[in-house]
Amino acid sequence: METVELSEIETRKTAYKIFSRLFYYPGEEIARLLYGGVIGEWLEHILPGKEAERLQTWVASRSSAADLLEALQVEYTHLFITAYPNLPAPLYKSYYTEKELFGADARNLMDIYQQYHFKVSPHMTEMPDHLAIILEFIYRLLEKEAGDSLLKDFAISGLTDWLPQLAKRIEENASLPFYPSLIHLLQEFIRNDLSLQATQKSGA
Amino acid sequence: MSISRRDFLKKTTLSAGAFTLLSGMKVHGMEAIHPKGWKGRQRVSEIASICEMCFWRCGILGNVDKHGKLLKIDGNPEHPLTEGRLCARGNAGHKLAYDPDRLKYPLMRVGKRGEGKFKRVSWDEALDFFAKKLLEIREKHGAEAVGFFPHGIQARFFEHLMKGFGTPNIVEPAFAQCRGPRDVGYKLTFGNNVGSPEPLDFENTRMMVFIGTHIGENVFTGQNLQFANALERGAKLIVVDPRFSIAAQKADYWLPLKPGTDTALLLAWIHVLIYENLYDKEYIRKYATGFNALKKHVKSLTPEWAAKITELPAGLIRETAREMARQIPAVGLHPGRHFTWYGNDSQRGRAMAILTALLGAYGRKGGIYLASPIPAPKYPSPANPKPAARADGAGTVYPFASRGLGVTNGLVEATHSGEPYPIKAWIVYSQNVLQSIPDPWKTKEAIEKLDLMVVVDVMPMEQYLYADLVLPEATYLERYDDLYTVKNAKKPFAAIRQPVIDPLFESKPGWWIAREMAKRLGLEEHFGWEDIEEYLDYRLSGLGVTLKQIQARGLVEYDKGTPYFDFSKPVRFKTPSGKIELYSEELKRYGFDPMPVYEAPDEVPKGYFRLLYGRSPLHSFARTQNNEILNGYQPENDLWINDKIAAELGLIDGEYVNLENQDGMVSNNIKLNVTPGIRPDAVFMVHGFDHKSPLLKRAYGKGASDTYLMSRYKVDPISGGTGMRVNFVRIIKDGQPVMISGAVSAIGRFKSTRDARRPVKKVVVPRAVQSEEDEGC
Ligand code: SF4
Repeated sequence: METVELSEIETRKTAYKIFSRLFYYPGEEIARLLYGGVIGEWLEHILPGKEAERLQTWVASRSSAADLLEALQVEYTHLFITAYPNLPAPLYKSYYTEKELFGADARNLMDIYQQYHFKVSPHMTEMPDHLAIILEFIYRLLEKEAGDSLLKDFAISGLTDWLPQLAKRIEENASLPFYPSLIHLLQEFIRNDLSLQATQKSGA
Repeated sequence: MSISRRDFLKKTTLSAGAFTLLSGMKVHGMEAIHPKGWKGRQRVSEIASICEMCFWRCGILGNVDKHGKLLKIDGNPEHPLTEGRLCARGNAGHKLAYDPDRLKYPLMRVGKRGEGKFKRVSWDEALDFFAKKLLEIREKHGAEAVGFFPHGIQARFFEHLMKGFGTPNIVEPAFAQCRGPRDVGYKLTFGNNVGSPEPLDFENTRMMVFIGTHIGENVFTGQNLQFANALERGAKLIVVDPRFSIAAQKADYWLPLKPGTDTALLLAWIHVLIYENLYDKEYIRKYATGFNALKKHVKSLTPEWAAKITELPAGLIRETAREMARQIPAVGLHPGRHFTWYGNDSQRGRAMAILTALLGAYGRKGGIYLASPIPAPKYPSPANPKPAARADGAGTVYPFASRGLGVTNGLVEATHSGEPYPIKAWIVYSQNVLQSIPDPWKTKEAIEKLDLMVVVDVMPMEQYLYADLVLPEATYLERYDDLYTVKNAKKPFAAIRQPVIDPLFESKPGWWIAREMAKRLGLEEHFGWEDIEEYLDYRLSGLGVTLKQIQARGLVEYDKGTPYFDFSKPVRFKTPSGKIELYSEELKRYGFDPMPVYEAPDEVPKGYFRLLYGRSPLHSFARTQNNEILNGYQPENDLWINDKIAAELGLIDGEYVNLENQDGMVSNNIKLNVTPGIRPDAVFMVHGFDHKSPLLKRAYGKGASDTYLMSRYKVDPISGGTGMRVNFVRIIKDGQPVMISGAVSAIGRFKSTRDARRPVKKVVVPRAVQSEEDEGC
């Protein structure tokens, strides 16, 4: 089988992009890629272990891409949008840091985006501090500044320091294994990434 | 933990196919901006609009930062009625927009009704489904099988759509759970209902009279301001209320009458005015009809007669009548707002209107001034199809009910019984049907019978759980609405609601939702305007201005000259006789008493209290309890109970109890407010608490719900309004009823009033009924 070897920056970039897509509301494309095993393969490559396996096993257990999509949409709505009796895990940073939508954190993020010459697209109906947008921002930054990242370590950790709280809520409220595995994998990836950047900085 | 560069790189080989697929994948939430081309949002401060934290729609200025975040809301100093003031709710409005619990995306039910399991869908998917279902229902059962429950000006576009669709069944609680009987009473007497805001000339009044009106707790910033100014000016105040309300605390006379006996007091006041020759004789002689009959009617209805009924001293009744007479015609007798108390409320409205007439106060300085319609033309639209007969009984079962606002409870009944025909769909738009219409159990049963239940709202209120489709409406801070015209102002005006911020998430303004639906229902022609701006421009053209011209100020005034009758010219009232009708032939024709007759309410059974309810200055209906700021000020309601009774029952101020009504319905915990400021036979709570939707995280299960203690109501046969003060409660502490010694259980001794609908007499709609556009309660 023909293989492609990715550079470090390609790896990081692709990972942030994939995680970003996975935390947006699931659509047909993502369901297809998941069901076809492409995303699972990637995750198993960069984050081998039981979480990636668990995620992939569950995905593979669905009867079709359409069935997977329906299950993911209901679960996403339940966990992140609205749910009876309680909305468990909104994906907004300032919800955790300030208990408010569009709080100061969200607006600080807008400033950061602007500082790097990005903005949230006008057609985007999510808050600037939505997890998927934050991850997309990191991806775009890496893409833009390939090889010579302007993104400082503090920025990634500052952008994602609320993920443990989110992960806890997802774990406690999920009815399918998909999102608990996904948030685990994301956290693991960020830990690896930060650690790698730190190692590089210290010249190791 | 650290990871080496080698480890990381080692892991990143992929199959070529996977690589192609993954690198082709797009994310789409952000875009690059040219460093010089985008300066970010400019600071836009003070965007003028109108409040909707309640229905009074005071003028606001939204302060928005450079990120587009609404930081705070100020009052608009240009607003003619409020002069830059806002109440606490108005100030807290931005917390509605940023409430994490708000509805964000269209949702389709995936679980069972009531289970609360939904899936986010696109607007196209949602509206296609909605339209398909409506067309199917119309095809099978007729357009009348669709019931529409709107509230507020935002629902007007959808109401326009529903009329074009062909359903006659449009119902608002503003009539049958609120002002209906009042408006019927005044309209039968003067030919005009009073409308909103009540056109009371407090600027010039010398005497204010409130009967159950609790201004100060029921807050409309403008009316509160005028009330405070009138007091400051030295105007006198009579307050009739079983409770020592905020208004009562400011009064010259507080009349704590026995609940339900107001009409007896009013008739006795009328008696004094007539028999002591104190009424405005010239006014009555010239403009009223039926005086002699009225005189005869009230002959025996003396203060002494009323004293026995109302438990007020006869001397006080006489004295207050004389006090009013001394200020003729500058008496501001407040017509009241929430008027649906005991099921004979239209006659109470009549008694109040007749009293106003005897005081010569209608259309006079210091009394009730005259409204003047605003020349804001309607946007041209094709004629609506002729609708079938209504199912709610407005104009038939309840002959004087408004056909514009309808009878909510009538439509609930019809849905429940399938009579006169089946109702298959409800569209509930910004209304909380389970907290505003009494007997919510019946409402739920009715919902169960529907094929389709659609909820359009900002917050996930309880009914959301029963919806098949939920459409998230933009908040009042994020949308244009129809033009708000205020004819009941000394200087009438038209105000605009315009977006202060962009709609968050995928919420959409009501006009957009209605127009998108129109496209799918083949009704585009009913929404012929290019965009909402063009629509508003058209309506404003009657006032000689454009939207652009008034955007900064937010409103335009319209000078109509003096708001009083010009007695130098003939005055014709819009009644059948052209005069003020002290005696109503219309009522007689429909088999009702032509002059108000006192009907005693059911007595309070021993061991029980009459359940009274009202408003708080910090909350509007059941709509604001989840607001972060307002919830912080008043997270729950409390129960006023007379101090002597509390002592007798061993109840302590601040302790929590439950209430059980005559049918065994038990409330959530409620804190006691032990006070001498309420009669011993009644308890009082603020309406709108104990939300049953767990999605309202702050409001869920806090305080007690009055509506969930209203298993009974008594329908006013004239207007269809639901008398809701006919429920009795006893106190439950530690699971046991707390009884005064010797008290007996009264359960089972009550006559059900649920089905108090009169048989249909005639299907002719009387003259006095008119379509009433004015919503809000
Ligand atoms: S009275 Fe208060 S809540 Fe109502 S419209 Fe005015 S400011 Fe808003």
